[in-house]
Amino acid sequence: MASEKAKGYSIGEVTARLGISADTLRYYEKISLLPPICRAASGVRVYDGHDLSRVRFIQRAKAMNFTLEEIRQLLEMRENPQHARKDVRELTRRKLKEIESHMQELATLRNELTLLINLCHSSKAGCPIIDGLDSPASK
Amino acid sequence: MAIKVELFTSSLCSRCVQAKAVLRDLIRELGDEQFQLHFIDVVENLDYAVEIGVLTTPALAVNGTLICSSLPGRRKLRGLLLQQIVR
Repeated sequence: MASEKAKGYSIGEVTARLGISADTLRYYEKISLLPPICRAASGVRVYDGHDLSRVRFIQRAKAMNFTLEEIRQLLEMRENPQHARKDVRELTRRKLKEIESHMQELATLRNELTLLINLCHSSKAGCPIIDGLDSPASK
Repeated sequence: MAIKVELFTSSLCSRCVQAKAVLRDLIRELGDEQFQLHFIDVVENLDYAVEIGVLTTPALAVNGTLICSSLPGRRKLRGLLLQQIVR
């Protein structure tokens, strides 16, 4: 990622790298989730590494179902954590707790699926889980 | 108070049959009255097995804590059970 910082990317390159649509990028800029993007002399947008980093953060936060307003505040925290407003710091703490709880749930699910896969591997007669699903008792 | 020993098994797990026999035998040898032995089918008790930390079978828990995620040989298992008595 260090190499990204010095380079400029067209909107097409950003959409290809981040799996995000051009319309979404323009929308984020319109609602000020992204600052005004630098323009080349031709008028086309040129994104830098900082912009890409910000978009990645937005994508991660959206995947956790944070609202756009929450994301806006977290971006404020991200830009200047030592001088963030108290309410923004509080939001960051709450969101951190949410994420930790989510990670705990994911770990439990991971362990459950690991156990099920291991049960399948240890059975000479085939997968006991699938066999169980096919058995009359499960219908 | 009797030591709660739970062996987590599954119905088609070939090592589980042997593990059950070894454990029954060891507990008889060390004194039935000292232990409460339970065989837990992981598929029927999936949430509990995951909560304990079982990732494969056979697995052994003592007083609600996983102590073996795969069963050791008879001698080592005997040692582990003896340790529980001494505590």
